[in-house]
Amino acid sequence: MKYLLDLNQFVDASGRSKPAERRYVRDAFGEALVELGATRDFVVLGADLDKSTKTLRFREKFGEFGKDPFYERGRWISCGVSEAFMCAAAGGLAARGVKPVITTFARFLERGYEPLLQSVAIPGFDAFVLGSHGGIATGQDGSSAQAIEDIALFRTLPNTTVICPADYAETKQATLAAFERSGIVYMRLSRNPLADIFAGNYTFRLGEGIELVPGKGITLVSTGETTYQALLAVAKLKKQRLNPRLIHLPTVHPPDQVTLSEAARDTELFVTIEDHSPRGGLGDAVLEALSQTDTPRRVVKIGVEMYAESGMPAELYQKYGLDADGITKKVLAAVKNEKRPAKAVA
Amino acid sequence: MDIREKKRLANRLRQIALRLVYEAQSGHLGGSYSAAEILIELYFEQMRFNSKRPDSLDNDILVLDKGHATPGFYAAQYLADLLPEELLKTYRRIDQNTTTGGPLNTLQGHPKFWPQRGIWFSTGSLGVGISQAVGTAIAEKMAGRQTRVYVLVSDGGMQEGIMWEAARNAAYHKLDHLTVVLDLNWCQNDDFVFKTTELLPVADKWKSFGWEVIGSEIAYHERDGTSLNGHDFEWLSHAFQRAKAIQGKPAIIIGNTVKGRGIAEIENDPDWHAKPPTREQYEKWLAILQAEETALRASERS
Repeated sequence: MKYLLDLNQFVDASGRSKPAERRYVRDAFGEALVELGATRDFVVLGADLDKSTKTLRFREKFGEFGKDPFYERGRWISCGVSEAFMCAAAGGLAARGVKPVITTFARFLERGYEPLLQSVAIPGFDAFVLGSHGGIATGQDGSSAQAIEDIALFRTLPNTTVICPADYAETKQATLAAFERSGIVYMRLSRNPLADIFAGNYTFRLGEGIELVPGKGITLVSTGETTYQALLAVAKLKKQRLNPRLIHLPTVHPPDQVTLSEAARDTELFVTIEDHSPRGGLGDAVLEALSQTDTPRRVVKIGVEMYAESGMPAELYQKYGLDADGITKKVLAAVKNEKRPAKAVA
Repeated sequence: MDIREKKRLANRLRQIALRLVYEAQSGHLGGSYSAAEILIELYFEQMRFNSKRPDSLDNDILVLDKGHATPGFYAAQYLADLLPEELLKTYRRIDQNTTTGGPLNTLQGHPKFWPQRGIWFSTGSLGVGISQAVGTAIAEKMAGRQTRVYVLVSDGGMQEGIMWEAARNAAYHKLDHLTVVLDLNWCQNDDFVFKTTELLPVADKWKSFGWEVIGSEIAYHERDGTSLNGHDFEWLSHAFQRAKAIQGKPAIIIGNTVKGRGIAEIENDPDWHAKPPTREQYEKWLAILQAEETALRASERS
């Protein structure tokens, strides 16, 4: 679908980013969970990170299991710092018809991956899984807290949907919309407040990619926190007389085959941008979708190639090439490469 | 139920388990035999369930954390009328009748969720079963059901960190309708448990995690014929009764057992963790078990 943005809303005449309204996507998730709690039957499992994952409001409203005043009716379950246990216990709840919502940081979910696979994925249960603090944008906590493999891990689980929203409004809608999806829904969120991109007239549709900027020849595909950086990069590239299209894929997996196939018709170069390993994540999801089209297209994947370090999110994005300048440079280099005639193969 | 009848059922379980592993030429006999009496005691004395409705939420549940012990588990379920006989032929065999990805109608090598057959868990990776059981036990409390949740765990499984996460959580949530049974046979895949990494002390560990501990471990070299309470129906019955009476915390029953119990040739031999018998062995062992069954039947009549 199309949701065309006015770039002037995000950059000034000289191409510099304007100050943006920023909100925590985790707050949007927490609010959506409270809304859902009023009408849907589910429990939330936490592993000592409820202040950070913003499930605290759900816990306050719907009570802690076994504790005064809700006791057996409490719908938030404390697991302590036991992510592996949490992921397996979720399967035991689901087996008895109680839908589990598993919440922790993306990195620590990775520790629960195998128990989750055994206890939820193999028996084919429904579960909503929140991985907060995804990517190097997690910042100063350093590489131990910066998950760059989580999307790849979840994408390989059969019957799993992976969602990575770009701002507050989208996160809230995506949580509400994806909640009923069968199988595992993995939602990856950022730690940082994200710049508002979508206004009140936006409607999130599960599985659909969104064309944010029309263009031709080059198509940028981004997800999550990098979509805002890609947006700024598009403005810079336009100043270089390029006309890139920007597609945001909030549903990373399964990728939107229709939108990507349509874009492929007038695209010579795809560039994917993600705060994640370029292997197994958004970039590979796009490659898989494009492999289903008739014409082969060139794809350049921008991602995090190595374990990063402590630092401010903006500094890390700059150093590791995920900010608007870094993306612009890589796109320009790729375009330059493309114009150079390929060496004849003997 | 009369103890003599339970003994005969345990013998039947061993015969069926032997057939399952022999016919599939794959499966775990040793750990099924060590748990035979525990399984019979559970299905024929302790657990309340409606065998006509294996998927009833009101049935008591057994979660097989030691998911490799399917020969014993399926045999017990068959004896308890939870599995039809024709299904036993499907053990560890490909399902030719369903499309790829469709629901399976075969008995998996390690149990897979199949409530219509009374299988409420998916295990095979040690420690996830007890964790699932804690989740299930919480679900039972939430729903206000009177269901009891039993878990059969192995000594090797206690080397998994997740088991202690589950132990801490079960005690914290005061899951007094959760009873774990340890099949302490001191053997695991590669070698004896104490030659792999030390497990002692066992009872003290669980006590310190806030559990009611029934029975205690007897070190491998200190065991004698009288200390093998995991094969003693009288002791097991008392232990389960005690566990049911405990309030405010979960209970663990420590059953001292012998791996491969019932066939002298494979007893206390870690090599018989996951090995199928040859035809010769199968016939010889079946004859031993059948002779024992005849003697047990005679004693039942006397």
